[in-house]
Amino acid sequence: MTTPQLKSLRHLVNKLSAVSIAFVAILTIISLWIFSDIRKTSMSSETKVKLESSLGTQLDRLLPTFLLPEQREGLPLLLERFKSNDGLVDVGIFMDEGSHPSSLDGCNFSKLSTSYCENSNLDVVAVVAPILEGDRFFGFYYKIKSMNGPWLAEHVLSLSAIILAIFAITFLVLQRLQTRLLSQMVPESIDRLISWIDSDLNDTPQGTPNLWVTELETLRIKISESLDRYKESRDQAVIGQLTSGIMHDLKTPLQSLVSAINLVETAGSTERRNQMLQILFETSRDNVHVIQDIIETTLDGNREIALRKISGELQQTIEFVVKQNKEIATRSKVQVSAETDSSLQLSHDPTQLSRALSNLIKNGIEAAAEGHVDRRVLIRSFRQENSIVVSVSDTGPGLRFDPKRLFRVFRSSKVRGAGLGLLITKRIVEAHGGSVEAIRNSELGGAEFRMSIPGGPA
Amino acid sequence: VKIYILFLFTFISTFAHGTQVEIGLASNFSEISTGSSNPYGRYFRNGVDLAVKAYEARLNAKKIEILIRQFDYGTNEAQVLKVAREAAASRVVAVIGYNYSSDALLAAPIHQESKLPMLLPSASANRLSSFGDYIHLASFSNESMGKGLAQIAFRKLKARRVLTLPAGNCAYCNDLADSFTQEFEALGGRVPVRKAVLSDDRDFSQLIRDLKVESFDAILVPNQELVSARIIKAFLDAGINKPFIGGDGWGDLGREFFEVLKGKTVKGTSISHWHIGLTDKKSNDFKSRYKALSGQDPNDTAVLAYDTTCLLLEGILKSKSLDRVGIENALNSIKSFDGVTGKFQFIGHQAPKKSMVVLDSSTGEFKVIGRLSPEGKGAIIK
Repeated sequence: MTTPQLKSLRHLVNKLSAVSIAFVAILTIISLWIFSDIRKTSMSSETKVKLESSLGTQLDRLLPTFLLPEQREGLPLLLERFKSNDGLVDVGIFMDEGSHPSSLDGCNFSKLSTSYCENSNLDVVAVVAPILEGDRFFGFYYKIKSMNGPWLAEHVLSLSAIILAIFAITFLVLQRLQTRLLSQMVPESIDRLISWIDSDLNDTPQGTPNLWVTELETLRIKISESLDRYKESRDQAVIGQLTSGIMHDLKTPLQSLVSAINLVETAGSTERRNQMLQILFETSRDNVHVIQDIIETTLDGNREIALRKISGELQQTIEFVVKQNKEIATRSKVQVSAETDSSLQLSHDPTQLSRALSNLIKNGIEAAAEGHVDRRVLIRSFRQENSIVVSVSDTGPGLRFDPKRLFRVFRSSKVRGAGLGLLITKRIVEAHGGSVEAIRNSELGGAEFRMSIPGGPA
Repeated sequence: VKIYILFLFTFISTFAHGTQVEIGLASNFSEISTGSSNPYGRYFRNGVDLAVKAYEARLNAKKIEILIRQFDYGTNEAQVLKVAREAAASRVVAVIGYNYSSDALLAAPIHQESKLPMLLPSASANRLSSFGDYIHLASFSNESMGKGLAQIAFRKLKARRVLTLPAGNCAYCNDLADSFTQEFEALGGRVPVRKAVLSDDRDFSQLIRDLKVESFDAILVPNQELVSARIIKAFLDAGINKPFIGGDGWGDLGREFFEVLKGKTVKGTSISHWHIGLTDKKSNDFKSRYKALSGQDPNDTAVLAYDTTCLLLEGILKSKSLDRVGIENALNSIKSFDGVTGKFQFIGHQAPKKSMVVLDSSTGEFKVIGRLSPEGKGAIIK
């Protein structure tokens, strides 16, 4: 079935639903009114039967009060008793048609038989019976009983019918409104969704789009999950490609090493030889580090980083790392400073934590070096609730990537390096039970990374 | 010849069997009444049967056979009218019954109009004497009883303020309350409050709340046995133990009366026609014969039925013609009659002048404490 056919079918179903509800509402109203009317008639009959069931006995008891003056004193008491026993609204006696109470206006009375009378609202039924002894007529005995049942039925059921009708009308209006709103909002939301997918695929993510429609929001979440899975598998593929690339890359420095060793053998002066050895040493060390990083983060990614924790001052570790990177900083003309709290005691592996911190400082130096005037990297340590936080902020341009996506393999915006430093930092900190957070813009203007490690000294 | 033979056969047959006289009994023979849980009919019928048996020899001597027809109106007063009309249209020459004053008052006009003698064993309403010749009371009137009770209240109980609580739908009760009030106020007493109840009432809490603020020395409860007992019980339960006085409606055996009181001591004085504790010769004879007939002790209904039937049978025996008019004339000619309940004195068409039995109920049973003169005046006759 094609999309236009689906649309017209859906429209038809909606329309039929609305019409059905309206029809049911109208039908219910009519039914309830009819039912209420039937109920009234039924209650009226029931009330008449009840009134009649005690009528004969009551007339028999009343008759002697007319025949015997000695019993006349009992008449009001008897009437009161009948009223109470039958749950009557009113009860009484009148002598002729002209003296009937106003509550019986409009009723017809017969001196020969019992008459029934209902008021226009059908909420009370009256029975009027002649008090007779043979041919002698003494007066009319009347009793009036209310019919609470029909009144209740009428009002409650009518109210229900009105509520149903209002519901049907509201449903119709809302449905029309919904159709109109959806026709405007759905295309807009789809555009936003597409734009968001594009930006995510290009690693320039935008904020979560407001899609208005629940179904589209669900779709976005599913797409996001799919994208994450796709990127992960893409990363794995990249690892394979890069492994062969690295092997290729290692070939060049190894060739340099062979050349350098030859040169060392042929170099005349000691100074020249020392320079060559220095280059040789640094090149070898850098390449060993690259290989080590790859092994730890990718090729052997599932292995836990083994820690050898000691309890000590964090300040020492920080100062050691600052000192370690001083030469690079000087070369890059970046000022590296530390504001540390000497009282902070932390159980940690100084070697691994130095490595993690060094990664962050190096990144900070490289970012700050992109600036022209203010080139600074600031390391701070402080206690925050139950954790100790080490923050590295810089005056660089800030983060270009989504901070959440920085800690992935080979994710780097730098010219140099394999993009593994932040991932290693994350894993070292996580091995300490902590977490790393990247902040796009720090107080210094550039990026800020915060390592948060729980607890104090071991 | 055939006609002659038929006439002769009828004459001989009538002569051989005597004359059949059908009398009617009108009462509640079948239903539990609000005045008493014992249908009057059983005691009533036994009294009648005992009287017919007592007159058997005299009736046989005159070859008169008494046939009895029952007219049952249950507890429905409106049915009394129907029953009275049925009796009027029947062959009966006289009717005994209509035990309550209300019944008798309803039936009396019909009897008078149809000239059917009506003999009332216990109905005592004052107005009954005014309907005409054919209405015969065998009981003292409410006027006599009211006077007697007023004398008891004023002289014996020294009461000066007496409440009256008649059942508003009971002719006897209102009539007795009126008679009492008239005599009591004539003696110098006061009836500050008269409150009506209904004969089938059971809840008197509101009545007692209303009366608690009143000042009074005694309470007249001029109603039938059950409702009287219920009223008295309600007062006793409320802590009001003033002297109570009542008429023949309280009864004489008192089984139901004291059953309702559930052992509570009541300072009660009432008037009755007769009591099983009376030991005069006529009473003793009646008690033994009644017990032999029914296996039970008689009550005042039975003894009144007996006396009234005897009175009617006297009339039948005296009657020159065994029709309604003949019997009516014979009844009117009786000026005095010596019954188990005492000596009857008929003056004009008034209720008979008879002595009244005074009963005390303070010991958990009715006990005779004396008799009052027919006028209800003077001290209690010991």
